[in-house]
Amino acid sequence: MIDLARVQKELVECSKDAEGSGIKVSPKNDNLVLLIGTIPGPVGTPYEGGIFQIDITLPDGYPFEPPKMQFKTKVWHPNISSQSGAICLDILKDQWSPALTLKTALLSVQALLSAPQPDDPQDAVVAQQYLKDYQTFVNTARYWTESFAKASSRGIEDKVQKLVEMGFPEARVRSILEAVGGDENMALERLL
Amino acid sequence: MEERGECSASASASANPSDEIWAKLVLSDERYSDVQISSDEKVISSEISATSNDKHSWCKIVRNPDLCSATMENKSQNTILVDGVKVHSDDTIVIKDGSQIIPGPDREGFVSYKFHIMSGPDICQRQLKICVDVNHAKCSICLNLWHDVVTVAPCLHNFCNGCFSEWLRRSKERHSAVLCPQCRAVVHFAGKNHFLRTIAEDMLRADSSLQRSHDEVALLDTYALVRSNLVIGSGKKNRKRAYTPLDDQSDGTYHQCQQCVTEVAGFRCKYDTVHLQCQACGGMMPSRTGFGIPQYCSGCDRSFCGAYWHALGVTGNGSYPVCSQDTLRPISDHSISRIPLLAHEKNLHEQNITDSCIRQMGRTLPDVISEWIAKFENREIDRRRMMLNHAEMITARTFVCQDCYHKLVSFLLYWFRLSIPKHLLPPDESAREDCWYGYACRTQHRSQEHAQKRNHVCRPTRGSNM
Repeated sequence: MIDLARVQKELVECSKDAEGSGIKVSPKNDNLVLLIGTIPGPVGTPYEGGIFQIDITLPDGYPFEPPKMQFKTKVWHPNISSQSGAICLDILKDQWSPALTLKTALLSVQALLSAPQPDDPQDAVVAQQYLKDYQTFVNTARYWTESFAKASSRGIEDKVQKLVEMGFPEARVRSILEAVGGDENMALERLL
Repeated sequence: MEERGECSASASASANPSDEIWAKLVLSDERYSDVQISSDEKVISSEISATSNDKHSWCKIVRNPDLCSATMENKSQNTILVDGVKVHSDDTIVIKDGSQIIPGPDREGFVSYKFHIMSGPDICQRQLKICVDVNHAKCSICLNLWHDVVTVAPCLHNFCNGCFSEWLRRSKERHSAVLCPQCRAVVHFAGKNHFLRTIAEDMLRADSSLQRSHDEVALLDTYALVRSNLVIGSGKKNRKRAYTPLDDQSDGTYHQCQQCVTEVAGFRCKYDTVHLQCQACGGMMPSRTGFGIPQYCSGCDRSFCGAYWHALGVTGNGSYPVCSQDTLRPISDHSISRIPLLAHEKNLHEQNITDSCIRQMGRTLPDVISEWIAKFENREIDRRRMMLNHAEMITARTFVCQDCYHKLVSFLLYWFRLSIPKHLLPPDESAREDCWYGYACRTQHRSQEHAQKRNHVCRPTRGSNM
């Protein structure tokens, strides 16, 4: 049974420091099992300026078992699958500790963006490129950040703005857009 | 004819009959009576000369706000000696419990008083107020104030018993080393931290919003595995090679356990078996909760190995410490030959009276105890003041250690004494009045005269222990 009291405390703690760290966690629905994490791309890396969304699922044994995390935003990184968003990070596997929290886990993922580990890859193609053609890797990573981590954020905001201008309440617009995966037309159908 | 000291404020004193006596001046000379002080401010009028019965108003005593001391002002023309310090006319000095006061410039020719403060329970409690960040007292696993806090060694980080135990259990299931959740040091040892537990309890009293729900507390308590100090195996991964005795030598510090080396009675410890350390001999035994033989005393929750090894037919030898059976056994199997030292709140005088009564009745101590254990088991005795854990669940077949057995015997002897008719008590003793503070009296421990003068095997009628 998940320790829901602890998850509540974690969400409060994250929201307190969201301005400073840029890291956010919010529930997808009411049960606190499915959450969305958001991390900014680290400064001085090809991911700078990007906003990356991470799907979080809490297992029944949380906090004694690690949360399951997966990039929702496409990212070009040796330790993150460019196809599925799966993350290769030891603290999300065997090195998990119950004293770690969602926030510290997201900070570790952010640190992973700063310091790829190509010797222990999740995505062999990216790792290969990183090792053999670093400059192309950097260019590709920056391109993916521009294409997916920035545009998607801006795209969402634009859609929210349009729908709000039609007279729909912003909170509802955001939740429905989230539910339909950002499809503006489907969102409009549900709002009506 | 017993005369009490008079005071010039007697009119106001009689106007306040409910005033309690909070202090007195005790004369070393038995010919004169003690001076009792019940008002917060009093001018003392009593004998001062060793050769005369005349009373003089020679000082004023004012109770201090801390309730542990008083201020004395010299109201006489003489210099007064207080603990050897000269106090001149109209000067003041602070006096404490036990201060010696001579109403004259030297010991020759003057009587000697000793100042006593009647220490009612809690009257001298001194509590320091400090600032503590509550976040420093939170378990890093549940992010809440510690509940039943345990400390892990060697790194000394602290967690709720329930939280750490759940992590311990899951680590064992995965056959991996138990790492400290906070710093990843390998944990070899975990024990309750009684000091931090009281800190957490004080914080709860100060801020009740930190209180957990009853359900949450109950859940944590069911998870809790650490009852006394717990030694945790190193958790070395031996999947690729056979387990050999050589491994035990490298863990010699933590595994002085016979079943780690050889199979005994069908059981042999695995490399990750959790061990208990015996509180009597320091030897180790595997923690086997499903096994039928108790390993914990039900009175104090400490672990003892006497019952365990005895059940397996193991006796002590030079290599492994093993207790005799009597360190942990059912209450009805323990034996007693003399009244425990802690009986009657360690009042030797009352112990002697009880011992004398038993012999006077033509009985023996074991005989009396056996009878009262039966009464105890039949619920004829109020158990609230029994100083054992799980008091309500204890029966004659409950396993307890020696210390807890002595506590039980002391508890039963109190009720035995209450049941003795007055005419069976020694004549001098049956005539005594009950002490106001009863069994909770603290004066009985430092004043032999008071211990003999009043009966202390009785309930308090004053103080907060009523």
